[in-house]
Amino acid sequence: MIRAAEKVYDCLHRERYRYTLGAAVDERLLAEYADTTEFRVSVYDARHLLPQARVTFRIEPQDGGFLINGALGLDYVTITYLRDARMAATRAMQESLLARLP
Amino acid sequence: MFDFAEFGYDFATNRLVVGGEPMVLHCHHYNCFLQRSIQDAEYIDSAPILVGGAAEVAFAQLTDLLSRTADVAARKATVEALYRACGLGLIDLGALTERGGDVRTRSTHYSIGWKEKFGRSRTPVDFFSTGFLAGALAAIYGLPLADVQARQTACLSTGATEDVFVLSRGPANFRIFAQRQSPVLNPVADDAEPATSVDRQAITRAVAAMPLPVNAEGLIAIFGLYLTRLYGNYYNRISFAFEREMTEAAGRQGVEVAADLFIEAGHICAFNTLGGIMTSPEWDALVLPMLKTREDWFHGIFAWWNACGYGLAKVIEVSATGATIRIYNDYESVGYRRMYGTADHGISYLVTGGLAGVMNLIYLGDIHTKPALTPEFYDRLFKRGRAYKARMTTCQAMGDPYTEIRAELAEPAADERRLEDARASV
Repeated sequence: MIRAAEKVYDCLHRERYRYTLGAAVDERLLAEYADTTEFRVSVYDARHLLPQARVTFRIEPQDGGFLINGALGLDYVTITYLRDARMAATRAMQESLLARLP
Repeated sequence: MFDFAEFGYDFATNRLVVGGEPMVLHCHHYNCFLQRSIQDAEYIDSAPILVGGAAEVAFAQLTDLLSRTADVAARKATVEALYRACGLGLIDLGALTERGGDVRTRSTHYSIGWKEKFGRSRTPVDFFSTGFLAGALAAIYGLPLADVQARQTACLSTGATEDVFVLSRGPANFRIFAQRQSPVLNPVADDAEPATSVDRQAITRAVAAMPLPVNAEGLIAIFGLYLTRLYGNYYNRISFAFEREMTEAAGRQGVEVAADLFIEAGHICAFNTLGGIMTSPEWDALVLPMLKTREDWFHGIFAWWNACGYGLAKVIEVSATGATIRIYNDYESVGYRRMYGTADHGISYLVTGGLAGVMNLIYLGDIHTKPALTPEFYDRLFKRGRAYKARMTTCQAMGDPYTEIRAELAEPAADERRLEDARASV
């Protein structure tokens, strides 16, 4: 569930939004992008150095149309959309996916 | 083919040295602003400096890295992969021969970054890639750097559909600099730092190990900007050669003008790169759980800074009234001494501007509230009203054991100029 969507300033030729969610992000979000033929998901876990840290992730489709940044346990993600003809549709699709999450 | 992870980050000095060249992180705001500052001094012929500075470091590094194989195709592949890993974009060297050739690309950091920052340029702007390719041609084929020419004939920043670089043989059409001395590093003392709950060393280690994602265009789009991992001695060479030309042209006043420009570039670096970091999910995930006070934020961002290859920074003192940091082996000092010997004035401009920028973001800009890092916000923080100003109290390039910077809150000067928001003039 999206509790708030805030447009965030981005100095590149992109549009960025910060989505505050109804619950902390968990593995279910990553599971939505598990198809490696469509998406590149990179995860960074530094808890062996910083025990309080959260596991960060980046999700990108192969065509580079958007980029999701976030961390497991945070209650928000940012999504940056490439400004092109598909941007509105891409954004609607990602927001629909976030809306389905708890 | 090429991976920075294969070259260990030296946590004793907080440097990453690849093929003999220290590599540092900077964003397109800093890269383009620094270049434009140098170009804007129209009475100085800056193009040969900008191209020559890049050619110098690329040639030195690639001569080292490529010595592992004599196969030309493998050498070209390594150069292409290095260029991409640096976040510089995409290049295809397939058409190059020992006599030169054209390199065409639809993605370079400088061309795209310039257009994003300043809008369309009237002339090509990618002096870095021009020099890099000159150094690459010489290193791949074992040629003297002084026997290579390079120029950019088309540039994305002008509205062209691609960048075109033309390489050929002949007397170099860029500056060939005198051989640098071997680097000399100073020992790091066991200075006392203020107590904090922030685990500074763990942050530095975690950030240094964090992968920098390179996208399909060969760019590193992260923290809301384009990041690069570039040669510390490129920044050093173009800055210090420019400063010396300014000194020849205007004496001591030339040094002061150059210093103002380079410190301003440091403000821009802090505002955009460090500000972008402190408002990122990565910051919230790795560092934020340890932060309670603004002083903690200061410790946290300098722990992150220590993973950027700039040298080893220690926090000596920080409060709302001011801050002091001590840096061992800051890349500007180490590079200056390699190039020009002992300095007669402080030259650690990046960290001077960087410290003021961090203080402005934390204590005046409330960076913890995640403000939008717009040009207007920059203007408000750095150009109007009270702001932190920093000065060098010691500098390793002058023979001191370390560089120390002090920042304090200051009232605005009546004649302050705004440098950042003007559109491109080149």
